[in-house]
Amino acid sequence: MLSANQLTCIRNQRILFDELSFELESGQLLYLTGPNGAGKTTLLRSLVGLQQLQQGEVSLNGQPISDCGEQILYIGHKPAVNEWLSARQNLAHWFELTQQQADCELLLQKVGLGGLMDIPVKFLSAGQKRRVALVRMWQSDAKLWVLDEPFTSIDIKGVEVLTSLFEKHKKNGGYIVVTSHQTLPDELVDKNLHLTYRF
Amino acid sequence: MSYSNFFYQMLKRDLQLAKTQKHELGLPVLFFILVLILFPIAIGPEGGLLARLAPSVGWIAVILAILIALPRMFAEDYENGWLEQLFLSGYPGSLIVTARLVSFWLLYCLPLILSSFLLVPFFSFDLGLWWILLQTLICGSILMTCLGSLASALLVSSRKGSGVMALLIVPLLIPAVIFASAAQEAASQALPYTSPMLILFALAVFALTVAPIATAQALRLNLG
Repeated sequence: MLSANQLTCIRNQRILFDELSFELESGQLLYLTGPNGAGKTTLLRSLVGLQQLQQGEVSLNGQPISDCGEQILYIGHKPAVNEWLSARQNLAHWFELTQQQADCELLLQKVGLGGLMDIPVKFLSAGQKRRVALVRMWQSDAKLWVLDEPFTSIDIKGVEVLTSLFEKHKKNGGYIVVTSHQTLPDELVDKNLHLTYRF
Repeated sequence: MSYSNFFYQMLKRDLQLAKTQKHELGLPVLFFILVLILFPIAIGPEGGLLARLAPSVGWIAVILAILIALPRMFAEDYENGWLEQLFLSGYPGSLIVTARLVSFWLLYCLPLILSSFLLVPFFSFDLGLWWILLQTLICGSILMTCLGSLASALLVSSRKGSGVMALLIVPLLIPAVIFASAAQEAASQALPYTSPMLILFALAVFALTVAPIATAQALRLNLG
């Protein structure tokens, strides 16, 4: 169970959220919505332990989130893809970091980067760059997926593939927390959380 | 993955990246070599004077050349988000920083130190004295890499980092410059130079011990 307990974050003298608590059972997806600047990204970053909070704690299966590094897959606004390296190199480094064995070539072919895996990511389109980051979801041992606007610059077919991946991950008992300005299919979403912009 | 394997992978990635950005890599060395070429031309062909100036010119040029490279130490990985993934991966922050320190030193400082050999022909610098300069430069560049990593980590989220970085690092380097020139001075008069050299070495070891911990903390602060 993923549980957030009394999270409070104040940035630039503005309260983004205070005493926010929620729980997510295994196999559930939390859909986080809210206007720009409401603190969605900050909340996601604090869920994975990147953001320092004024108060509150997050735990995964009873363990504090800071001890659960290997169980988290976080894909944020910054894709963690180096523009000067090729898609294949980027992915290889990722799998080395997460200690996974994977066939990078096959994975990249699956996301439609078949002929483009050896040129620097710099020369790919925005959507293709995004795919280089998102391909991590195909082969992930992580329990908790925290995804910040995963659908940005992804085409319609890509969105379908992503939602099917979400379903698969839910069936396997994973947790998903996702923000998006696109609406997700209702059958996919188990919990909604709406953040409001506060002054 | 064991820590040593992780360390090796980090180094491998940095070297791979360096290969794609050769122009960035060459800039500090180019700057350094240009200083060494222009200086004798500007001063004039006075052998004795040039030989006396050689170690100080070498040191100053190395400091300034490293300052050019320092802002890039964490900037790219911070911008593209790789740094946050590293910190999420659960490996100790000081290990991540140490790997970066080593690759930075190998990629930027080592070429500078080696090209200080040009002082010998250009400044009619004594080969034996150059050997001592080499040792002081090795200690000095380690110290500078460590101080620089801390400054670079503190300033990684600010765009105007480079100017502030010089102000942060150079005052802290002054002791090293003093001990290096003391060692050089003693050696040039055939006196024992072990004690300033040992102090320099101690400074480098101290910086190498403390910097990874402090830098990792500074990076964490900047990420959150």
